[in-house]
Amino acid sequence: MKLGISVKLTALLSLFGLLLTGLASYYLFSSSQQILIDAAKRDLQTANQVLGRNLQLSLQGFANDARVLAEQSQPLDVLEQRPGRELEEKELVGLFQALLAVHPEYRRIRLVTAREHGLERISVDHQGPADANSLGEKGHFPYVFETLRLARGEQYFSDIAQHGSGSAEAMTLHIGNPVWNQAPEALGLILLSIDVQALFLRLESELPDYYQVFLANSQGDLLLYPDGKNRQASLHGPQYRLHEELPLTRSLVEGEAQNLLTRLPATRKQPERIAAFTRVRIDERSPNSVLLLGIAIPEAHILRESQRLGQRSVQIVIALSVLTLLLALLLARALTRPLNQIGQAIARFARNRSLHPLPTGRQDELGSLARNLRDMQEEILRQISELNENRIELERLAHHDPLTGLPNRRLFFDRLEHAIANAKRSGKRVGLLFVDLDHFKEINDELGHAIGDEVLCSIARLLSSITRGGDTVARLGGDEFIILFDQIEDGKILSGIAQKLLGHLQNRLLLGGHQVLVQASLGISLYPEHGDTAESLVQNADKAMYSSKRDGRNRVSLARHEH
Amino acid sequence: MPLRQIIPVLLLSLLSLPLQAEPLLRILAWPGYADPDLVRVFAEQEDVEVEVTLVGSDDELRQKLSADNGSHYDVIAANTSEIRHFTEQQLLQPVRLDNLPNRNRQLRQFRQLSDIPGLFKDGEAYGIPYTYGEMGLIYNRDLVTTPPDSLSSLWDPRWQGQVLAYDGSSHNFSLTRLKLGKPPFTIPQADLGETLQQLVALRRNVLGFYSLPEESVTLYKRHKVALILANYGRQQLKLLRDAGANVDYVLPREGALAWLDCWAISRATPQRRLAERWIDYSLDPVVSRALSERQGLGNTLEPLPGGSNAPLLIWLEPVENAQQRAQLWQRIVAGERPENLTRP
Repeated sequence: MKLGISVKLTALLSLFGLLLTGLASYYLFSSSQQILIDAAKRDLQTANQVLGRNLQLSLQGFANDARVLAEQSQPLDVLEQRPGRELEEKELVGLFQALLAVHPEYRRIRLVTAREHGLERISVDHQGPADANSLGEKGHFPYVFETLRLARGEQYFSDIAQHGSGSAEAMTLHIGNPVWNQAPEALGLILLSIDVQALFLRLESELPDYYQVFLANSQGDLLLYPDGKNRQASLHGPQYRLHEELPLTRSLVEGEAQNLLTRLPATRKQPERIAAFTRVRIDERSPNSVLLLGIAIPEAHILRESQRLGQRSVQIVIALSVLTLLLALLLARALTRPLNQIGQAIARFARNRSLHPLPTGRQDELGSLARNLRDMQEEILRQISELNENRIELERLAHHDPLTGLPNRRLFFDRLEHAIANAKRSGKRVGLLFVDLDHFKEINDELGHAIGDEVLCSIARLLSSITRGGDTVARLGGDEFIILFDQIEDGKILSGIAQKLLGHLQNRLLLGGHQVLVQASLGISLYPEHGDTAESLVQNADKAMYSSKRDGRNRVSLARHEH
Repeated sequence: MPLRQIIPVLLLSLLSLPLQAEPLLRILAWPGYADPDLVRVFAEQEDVEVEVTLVGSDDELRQKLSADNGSHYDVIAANTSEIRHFTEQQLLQPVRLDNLPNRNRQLRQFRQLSDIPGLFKDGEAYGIPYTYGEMGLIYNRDLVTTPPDSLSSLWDPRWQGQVLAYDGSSHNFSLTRLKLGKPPFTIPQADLGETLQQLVALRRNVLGFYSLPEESVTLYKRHKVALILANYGRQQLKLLRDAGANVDYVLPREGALAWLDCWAISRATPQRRLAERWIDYSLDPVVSRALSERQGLGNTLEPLPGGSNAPLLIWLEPVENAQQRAQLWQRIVAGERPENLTRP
């Protein structure tokens, strides 16, 4: 099947429309993905900073508790072993217990002296105060010897040990605050031990569950590690360090960067994620009091939003494509209808040269095409009619004698053959009367060719006037004429006419002031008696005419029978 | 919409990744024995996942391996004495020596396993030597003008609060015994009180106790430290020097405890063949030399440059009652006062 221009045009236009809307939608989709990711990055960073600030505030609250305790008068009095300290010890125990009751995450609050190898003076946990025998020397623990070398106003924050470290102190934050009197050396310290596990888990649970929370101490030891969760019972598990697990975070662990926004490449267990990290500093004056906090979201989660957009885009593309198809159909029809009209008009014009309506009224290219076409058709018609006239004239010239206007030899023979054919069917006869003027050469020579031509014309008129309408008078050449009688019964009518002609020719003609006597010799032949072909009939009529000439001219002879 | 069809498939395949069982090798070792870069090469080579858990003391090692009959680890590194202990506890299984072609590279003294106490039992090998060292004294040349020649300088009140000791029960008991001039690995009940008094005295003389060598470096940098009991020997010396410390190393005249650490395979492992491949990999010259270059430890493939200058190396042996030592040490390090300690 051949595809019409309207199908092609529709297909082309629809394809073009589809391409345009498809491309536009695709670029919209991909750029929206980028926008989503960028927005998610900003959100992530903000969320991380808010979370960090939250954590910082919680931890600063703990640090304030330690500071407030250390600044009371009782610790100083107890450490200086002032009189009446038993009462103050009791007050302190009460104070510690009250704090423990309010803060379930506080594991133990202690008052430790700088003397006696860091002996604990008071130690209270949720079970109550420890008895004097179980108080130990803690001077060799970092939380004691590090706290005691602090300057006034500073606090000690221990690194939080990982869950899997095997230590009893795992997931514990020790905050040490020196107790000062006027002396340059601290007298002892208040030691607050906090179970941060619950705090961190709460931190994690406050976020939507597709958020993953990373938390590491200042050394990069991971305290919360989403990637390590499924690995093993954590109590005996391996230790993970942030910068070893995620090498991208090294600058953060080493303190070169405060914030980090990065894309974590996909691992075997985790898809590609976007992660924000920040350093959370509990106390500006304590370099160790840093926690590294990070949250991550799988990129697929962010892009899930854009999947909806993608769906929408596809719908839009489909709707626009349908619309484009309709428009293309309409456009193609509007374009092809006048084309079809023009085509039909041309086809009909070619078939029968008839003029059909054309969209000549249009103001566009098609209108001008139609108008040009109409002009061309009219021009063609005009030229054709001119050609026809010329042809008719030529035809007339080809079959008639230019001088007398009588049919010439060629037309005569045509009609003779036609008449013979008719006579053969009808059984009727055809008669020929051959006329040759007598002494015409002398007339020509004596009176000139002009008179001779007038003679010929007069004779032609005479011959035409004495014959019937259906008979053919022709000039065979020079002074020879011949008359064809169609559909005659016998030769008598010819003889009658010949006698009548001879009678007329006995009168003189007045031509150019000359009285001219023009006589003629006549010969008659009949079909079928004197031949059954045109040539033989004419020949026999000619012969009969010659016998009239031989017999003295100005008479008529009948051809001799051939059979 | 082909994209919509692909996404669930992608997500599903993504989700199913963690479900695919992939071999996992769990290594329990000392710092520097399984560095992340070397582990990564092995993991990629074998297409497995490797988890390394580091220990800082024999007590920790015992605690970790003993938990749930050793089912948390596949391959461990421990000294010969500990290997003997674990073998007796039936926590280990024999190593098939035919699976360790790299053993041929080891020095002869480390290939003759039957000559090394603690590694052979019932005609089967339970430990493959990997590295060795001795516990000397590191001193700060800025503070200590005459090099200490005796373990007793750890107790010297001149350095009170400037000594770093090691948080390990067995060695500290043995060292105390050495300092007292007595056999280190056995303590008669009658001598126990004296030993405990000495250990408390040590505790009172130190700044603090470290477990991992890096901790000793951190403490050295933050505090005035004169003396360090170098449980990690030359490895620790190298670490300190790399950190810029002006330190030197001596072996005490009482003799230095020396250890030979070996790889062993836990009885409970489902990855015996993989564990053997790890051991063989660790004996590859690249890996073993990294141990010496990075940690300053001796490897078993080539002799120490210049040979060992130790006047007296005392190879670790099982102690009379490691559990008792550990329990007592726990109490000492928790800060219990001597009068409480000697009470039963």
